[in-house]
Amino acid sequence: MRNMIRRNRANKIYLILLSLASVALIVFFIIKALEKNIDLYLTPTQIFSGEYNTVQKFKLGGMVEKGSLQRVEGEDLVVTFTVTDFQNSIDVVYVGVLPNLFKENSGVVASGYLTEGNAFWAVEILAKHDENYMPVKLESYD
Amino acid sequence: MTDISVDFVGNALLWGATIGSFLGAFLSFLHKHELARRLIFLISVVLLTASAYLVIQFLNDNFSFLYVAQNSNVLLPVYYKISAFWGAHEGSFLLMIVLLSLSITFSNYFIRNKNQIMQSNFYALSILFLYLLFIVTASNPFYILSNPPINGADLNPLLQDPLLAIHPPLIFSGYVFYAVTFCFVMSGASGVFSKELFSIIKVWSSISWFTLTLGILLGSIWAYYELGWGGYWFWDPVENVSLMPWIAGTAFSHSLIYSRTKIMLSWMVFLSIITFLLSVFGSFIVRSGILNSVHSFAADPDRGIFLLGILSIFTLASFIVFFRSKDIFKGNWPKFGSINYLLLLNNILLMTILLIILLGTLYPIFTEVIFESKLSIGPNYFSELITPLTIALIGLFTFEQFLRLKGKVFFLSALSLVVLSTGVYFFFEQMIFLSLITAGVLCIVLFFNLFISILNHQTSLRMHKLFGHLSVAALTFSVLFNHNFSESVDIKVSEGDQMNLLNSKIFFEKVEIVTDSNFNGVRAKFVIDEEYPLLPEKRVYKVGGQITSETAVNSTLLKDYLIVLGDRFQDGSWSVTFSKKYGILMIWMSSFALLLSIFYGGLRRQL
Repeated sequence: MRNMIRRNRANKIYLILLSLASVALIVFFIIKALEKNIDLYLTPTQIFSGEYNTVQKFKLGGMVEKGSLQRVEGEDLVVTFTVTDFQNSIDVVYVGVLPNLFKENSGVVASGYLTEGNAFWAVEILAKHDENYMPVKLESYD
Repeated sequence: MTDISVDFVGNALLWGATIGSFLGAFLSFLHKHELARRLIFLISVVLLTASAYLVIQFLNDNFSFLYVAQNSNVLLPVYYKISAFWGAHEGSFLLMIVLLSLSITFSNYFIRNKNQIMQSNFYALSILFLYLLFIVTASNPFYILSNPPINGADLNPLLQDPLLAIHPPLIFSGYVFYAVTFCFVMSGASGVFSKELFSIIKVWSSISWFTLTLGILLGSIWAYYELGWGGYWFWDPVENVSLMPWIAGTAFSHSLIYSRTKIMLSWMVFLSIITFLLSVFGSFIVRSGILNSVHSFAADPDRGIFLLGILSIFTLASFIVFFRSKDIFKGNWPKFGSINYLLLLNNILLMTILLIILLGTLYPIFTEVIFESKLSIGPNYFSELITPLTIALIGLFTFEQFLRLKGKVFFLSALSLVVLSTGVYFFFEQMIFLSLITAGVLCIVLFFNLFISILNHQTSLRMHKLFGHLSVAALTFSVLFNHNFSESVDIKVSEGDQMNLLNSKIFFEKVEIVTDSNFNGVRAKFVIDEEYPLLPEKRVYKVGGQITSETAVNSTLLKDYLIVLGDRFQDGSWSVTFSKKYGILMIWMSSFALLLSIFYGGLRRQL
């Protein structure tokens, strides 16, 4: 009887230790994967401030400057435009089809890398939904 | 200057229902069951009237209603005017409350035994009361503009799709049914779990599971065909928020099977609480503006505080009931290698997946609130962590089917070898490919097992289980298949061009102009490999001027061809995205097979 109680208690301790170890392992993997897959959102000002890690892939957010969108002659599908946060701005190069919501004077999020010439090489462009989707007329009621 | 006031009829109805549900909860608490039962019926009539009232405003284009003005338009087809009712946060919430009151009424109609339903009525009416309080104070659809606009702002064009007319209400129904299930579980936890109560819980949990699965699947199909980004799941916060209660609900349904043994009983109650809380979280957070995602069309962060308030009330109350219950904590751990043990392992795996999704979804919100740094978690976070766990899960239930067989030692060692090698490769980049092969092998094993069972006429009771598990394995296989092989390329083409891309011949035949009541657009015609025609469109909506692309998809069993129309260049050529997506049809088919097995599994108990 006493043996059984003792064995039960030992079992319980093993069980608790085992579950603690597995929780630790899971959390370790989660943190590792989180670190690897974080995409920072940076504005042009933040990029040039030097306070953030711009060596890895990150996301650039801001407004597409009016009149800055250009297609590169002779190069299929290459576009350049300028993203601004109204203090600083950065030139962006992108190869591919632009999304429908992409417009000048409208918000954009581009994910990609900073080039040596301090331009931004966009791998993917996600145009933002017009903050809250609502045509101009109704906004005055808010 | 426009003033906003409250509409009398709508608000009177909502307040009436609010007071009624409070009274009803009170009456159930005092064991005045018959009175409460009548009140429940009355509340659902009142709430149905309120929603009918709002729908009528939509049909009449009454833009003095702020909600109608924001979400509808004269040009909108009639069926979208009706579905615009749940096009934004306020309406979807009203719909959810109506569904909740209706499900409570149905329960009361079918379950005549006072002891089974009285307790659960108390919980259900309390939930209804809090929801109604939320809607009248923070999410009221009945506001009136003194100076109404001539025309409304239109329903978001992305939402103008038949699938999207039914996807959100289905998700919400799933949430509501889980809330009802939760109320019955709570009534058992604060009283006794009788045999009848168990069968009620089983029926409700199957209904909820089925509805939520269908809702998520339709949302995924919508994303693939309507959003046209070539994907069906993006690990977007709003998608995750609906997946979490589904995973918890899956674990809950499985724990119900052996819930008569005590250890599984406590798990079952715990999982029911978790499922309910996650569904509350989901219903509040979608379209609340808290999540920064493709799904948040309107934003109002004030509701976040309400969300936290209600969520903490629910959490506190349900865990008080959980820990005060005497029955729940008796009993021993199940024996190693027994079916109960495997079930527990399955639940732990599912909970781990849940934890991963929860952290990945909440982490960006926390960092934004605390450190004010904006970031997002890439989809690789989810796929890297969840793939090996899912493979382990499939391995587990494949093993379970051979538990009674003599060769299980052999099978166990073969399986652990596979799992181990997956684990080793996890550290290298080969993971997806290896998981794909593992899933394929397990699929074949499960298929032969099903086949042999059918030959031996052993299936009548286990059919849903064998078939359901096979379809989960097949689903995993097709998802990995898609992930591993799909390709996409951007090109510039003119009318009449022919080119070879991704091992296919593409012919751009023509472009023509199309018009409809609420949009203008162009339609292009492509022919792939001389047999598959593709007709992508680009539309400009007349109200609001939003531009959308209608992706053209041509499905074959193994792969889909997709073309999205981009921009028109000055020389008349177009930018175009051409993709090959593998296994999409297999994904839908295995998902529907899963749905069928859930349906049969739930129905079987009633036959």
